[in-house]
Amino acid sequence: MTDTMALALAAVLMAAAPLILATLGETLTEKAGVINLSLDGSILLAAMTAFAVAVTFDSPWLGMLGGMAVGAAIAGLLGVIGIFLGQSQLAVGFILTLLARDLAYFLGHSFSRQPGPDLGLWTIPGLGEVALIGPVFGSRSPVVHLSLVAVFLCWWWMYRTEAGIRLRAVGESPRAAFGRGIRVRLVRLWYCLAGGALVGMAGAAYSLAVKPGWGRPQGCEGAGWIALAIVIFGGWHPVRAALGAVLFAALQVSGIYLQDIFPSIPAPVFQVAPFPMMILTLLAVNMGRVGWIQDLVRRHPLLKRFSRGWSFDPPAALGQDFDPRKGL
Amino acid sequence: MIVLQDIHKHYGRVRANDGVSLTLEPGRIYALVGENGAGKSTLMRVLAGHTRPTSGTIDLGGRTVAFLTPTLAREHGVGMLYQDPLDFPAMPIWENFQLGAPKRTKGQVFDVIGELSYRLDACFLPDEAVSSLTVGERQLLELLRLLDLGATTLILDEPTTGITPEQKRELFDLLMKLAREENHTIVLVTHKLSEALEMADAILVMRQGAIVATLTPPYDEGELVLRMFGDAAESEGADAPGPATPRPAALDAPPRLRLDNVVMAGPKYSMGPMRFSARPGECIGLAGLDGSGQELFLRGLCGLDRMPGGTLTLDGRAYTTNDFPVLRRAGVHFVPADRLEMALFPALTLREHIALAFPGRSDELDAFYQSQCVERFNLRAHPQTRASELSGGNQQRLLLSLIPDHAALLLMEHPTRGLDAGSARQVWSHLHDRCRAGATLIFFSPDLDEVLAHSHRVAVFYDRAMAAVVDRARATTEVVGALMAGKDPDQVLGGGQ
Repeated sequence: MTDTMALALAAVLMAAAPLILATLGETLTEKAGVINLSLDGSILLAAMTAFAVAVTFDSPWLGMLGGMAVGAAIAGLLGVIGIFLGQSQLAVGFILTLLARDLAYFLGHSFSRQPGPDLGLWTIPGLGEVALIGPVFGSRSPVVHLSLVAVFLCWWWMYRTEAGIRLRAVGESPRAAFGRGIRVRLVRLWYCLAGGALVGMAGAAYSLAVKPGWGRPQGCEGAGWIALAIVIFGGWHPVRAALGAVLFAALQVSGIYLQDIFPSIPAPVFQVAPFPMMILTLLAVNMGRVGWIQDLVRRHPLLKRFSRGWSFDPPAALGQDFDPRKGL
Repeated sequence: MIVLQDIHKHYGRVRANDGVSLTLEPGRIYALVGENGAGKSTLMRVLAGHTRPTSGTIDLGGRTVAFLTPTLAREHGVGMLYQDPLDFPAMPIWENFQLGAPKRTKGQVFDVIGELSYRLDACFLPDEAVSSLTVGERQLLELLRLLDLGATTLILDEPTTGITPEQKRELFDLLMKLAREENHTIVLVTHKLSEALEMADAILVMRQGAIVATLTPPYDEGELVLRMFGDAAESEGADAPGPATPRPAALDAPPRLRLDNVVMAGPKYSMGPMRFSARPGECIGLAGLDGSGQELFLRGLCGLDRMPGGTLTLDGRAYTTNDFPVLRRAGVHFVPADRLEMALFPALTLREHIALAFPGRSDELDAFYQSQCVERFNLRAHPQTRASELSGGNQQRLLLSLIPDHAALLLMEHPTRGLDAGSARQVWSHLHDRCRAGATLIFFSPDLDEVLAHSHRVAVFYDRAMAAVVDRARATTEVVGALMAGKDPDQVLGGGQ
């Protein structure tokens, strides 16, 4: 029984790993006030690049670096056009996502359906024997470990370092940040690049671990859009966003199990079900905005205490451009 | 010593600063006065490094530069405090305090905040979010932060808007102490002459982008007004008494508005149950610090915030829910302080605004525009102008002209926000006309003098509740100020309420 549970949990974490990486990347970027809508295309192009590099040099880790570089490059393009040239981040992001997708299929054609290396499994010595966590983490793909470490690092960076304060400051009020001597546009570009690299890592995680190989379709199509939704679901907080990614993966994986239990229900139902489930969850999480629930919370001290610090507000300056030459 | 030489700042064709030269010496308090749009704020932003001048030089203790950056200004000890504090409401106090300062640990920041708070008689909980503070506290936090950064030249842009008279007293004492004992330079940007006369060692008068006079004590108030407003000032100066306030209906007349045990609830807090009533023709001013409840009161009355309990009676009709469209049809009209953001459509023309507000008149729109906006409200703009291109005064004129004549209850947030003295007078004279015709006005202004000057009764809010309602005869700055600061109404009003 515990083995089945461990297996299911491991499957969930595996499916969640690239989603976690992509949501973390977008959370970083949006927390700095920039919306990067190119996620879906970036993931695809990064997945292709990662696989192509891994095949060519026979090194999956070099492949992952390649994927990260591609993700960062696309985000950098968006950053320069959106932040420094003052164009609409939304429009540029949309175009980039379409461009990157077509580019991925076109350039990746020769690598289609080819065998290639993958990231394999990491066996952490001694961990396998530990009760409960052993079967889940003992011998798993490194992307699982990477994604979980990334959650901690992102949280630590955002909420426990000076750089993290600056990151949130430029996303909250670029004017005030400028007044404090922060180079707003540079900071924003930097987190565009960092976020893009994480998104690229998500792409590499697909083609080198979760759904190894390249082809059309690769299997990661749509992941970028769901990651964008999960960022909102997570209220722009790295840990909550990661939980959202795990929840979505759990819904997907449970569909596989449920299919066996209810063979009479058509399979597509289980494939589509996670999407409306996410919308319902989003509604439940954001109940605090509804008037009568606010009244209820105010009347009950316990609920009131629980609701404190439970903010789902977007960064106040999300998507707004800022030009220091125009002054305050 | 700081010397500004021949500073020009042009925004397109607008010359916000047109050749300003200025010397600031340590240990002195300067007041920079002038009407809205005279260029005071622009000049101070240049000095704080928040905006680059088009031309001119800035001399800081021997070093001459063409422009400053915020970092450079800080290195030379220049710090600026904005009217709307330039901070990060969603972030904790200690992070706000630390941003822009040299590297320190969280513990050190806590210690510094505690130490400075003790010295300046303030109290801050460093882990709380800045959004939980009042405007006055946010200003004080900014002041603490600037002092911690070693600021020796402090620029304060309209620092007394939205704080109580008592807080103002404390702030002025603190500034006086900083100037006299610690040799700081203080620049007070203000449009209130009384503050300038009270505090300043020198008053710099700005008009149309230039410094037109530098006055030193003993001051002649008449001369100051003359310098500020030019020749037109003598007949109608800034502080000239407004037109006579209209008389409200008799006490035994049926009330326009009655609230019975009304509870109001906004996104952040709720308040009540409240009892309140207002007569036709009455002007009721709301006084209170930011977030004390007056905003929720106005928004709840018109249906923008919820009314979960109680009965609202308007002209004899009782309502237990406050549905915005229903109340609007019954004659309740709300005019927000954020005109462009909340009340107008920035990209639509004036003609389109009129067409939207008066749907039945589409065939004779231009004639109607002429009679309604131009002749009645003195709105001198072409009907094809977009709302976003209007000045603050014209925006307010447009908004007032869009309110139908049968409006029974006018709810106004800061009716004269951002208006120059002339436009403000015009707005008030129009509002008085409305009251004379029988409308009831309930308004809020962060400027206590404005509230006192135009109210038959003043409703004071404190700590998210209506603390007291004071008659005109007893509503003095001291009484209302004490109530705003949370003094017991029974004590302040002698138990007579």
